[in-house]
Amino acid sequence: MTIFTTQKRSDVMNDNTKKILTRAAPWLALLFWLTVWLVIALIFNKPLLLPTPVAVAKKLGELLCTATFWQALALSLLRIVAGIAAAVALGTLLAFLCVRFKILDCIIAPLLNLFKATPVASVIFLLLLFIGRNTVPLFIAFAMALPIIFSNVKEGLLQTDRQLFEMAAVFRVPRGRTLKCITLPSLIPYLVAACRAAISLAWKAGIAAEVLAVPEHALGRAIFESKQYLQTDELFAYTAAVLIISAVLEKITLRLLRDKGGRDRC
Amino acid sequence: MLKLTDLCFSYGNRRVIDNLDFTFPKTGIIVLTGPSGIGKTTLLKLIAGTLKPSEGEVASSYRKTAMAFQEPRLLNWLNSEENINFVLSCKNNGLDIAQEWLTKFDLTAHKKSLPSALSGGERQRLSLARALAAEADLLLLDEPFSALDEPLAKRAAALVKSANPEGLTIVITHDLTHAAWLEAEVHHLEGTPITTL
Repeated sequence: MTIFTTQKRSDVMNDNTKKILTRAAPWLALLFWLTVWLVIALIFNKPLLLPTPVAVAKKLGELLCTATFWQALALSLLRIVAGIAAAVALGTLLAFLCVRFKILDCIIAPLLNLFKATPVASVIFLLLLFIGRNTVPLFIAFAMALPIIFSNVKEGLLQTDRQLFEMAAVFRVPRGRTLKCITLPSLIPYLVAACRAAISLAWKAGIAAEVLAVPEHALGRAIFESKQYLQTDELFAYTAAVLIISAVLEKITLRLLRDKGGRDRC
Repeated sequence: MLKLTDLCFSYGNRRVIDNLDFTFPKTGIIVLTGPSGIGKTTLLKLIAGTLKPSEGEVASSYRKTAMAFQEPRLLNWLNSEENINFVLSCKNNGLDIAQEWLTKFDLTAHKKSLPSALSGGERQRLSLARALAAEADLLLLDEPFSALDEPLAKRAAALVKSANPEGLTIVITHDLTHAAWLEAEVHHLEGTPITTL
């Protein structure tokens, strides 16, 4: 005979400990790698090549107090976010059109595969020939994000439950409401996955484009100049800033998308 | 009026409905029974317009159609009352109507529940409530009581019976007891392809 009893106090405590450990795990991992970095930097003892995390944190603190840093950050953000936003808008529109018109899919797909396969550096140098250096990072972010957004949204549209559309058609639900209540909520998981992949890639490629195109007021340009003047602590500090901003940008976008995908939108 | 004229339908080479002519009465409840796979659901889908006839036509003069499908076809991201409200044309009091039908189907406690939190029977009742709430004059119900126990099926049948007095209700069921509860005209479909009702 099986007897089910209530959870023991020790089990509840174990569950709480597990929860705390799960939450703390990423921070503990970060702490571990920072320690590894610190130890290597101390053993190596060449701050010009490998500064300690403490020196980098100090430098980042100093940079945060300068207007130049914030100006570079704002303009880099503006360029790259504009590129990603344009990719989301155009990628989604193209996906809808390609699912609707197969012939358009045949035309668009090779172009986007070309976008995916072409080395970023080649595209950057080519774009530098045609457009101003200030807009190259925007186009690069756009070019990196577009194929990811397009293919994910297209997949989402193809996977949407046809039976639900059939049901809506029988009840003569207006197209607008069908789009809002069936199509968009079905797409949210695909768009979340697309944005997660596209943001980090577009952000990295956008900064790389800034390093090569050296536009005015840009994090990429600051990285380039730090390297030129062998200010390694500054180079690391700018890199850390890029990583932090990328993570924050991803979190904000995913939160916004998940909220929009909430139940209260119909 | 609902009139089927020379209606034919095939799945590939397999003809399911062949030259079917039938005029349904303007009002009332019609029960269609018959062995599995004979084409009852296909016929209902042709009437609903979700399948296009291979030949012939379905002429309907009804203002609005509603259907309870064999599988509930609920929107998993909407709660019970929102699922009903989704098909209602009236935007202002949609949630009140939804609430009213949830009460009738004894689902008030689940009005904020997502379909994933409902049992099979509750999902079927919600699907049926959605069809009845739509105030359609052509009501198509495909195995509407199959997941319900007898007392619940009996109550649901009573609601179906009184839901559409001015229009036509077509019900597919395997169980003739359901037809008796609905006091409906029964048509037994036999043979493949279907040629008569």
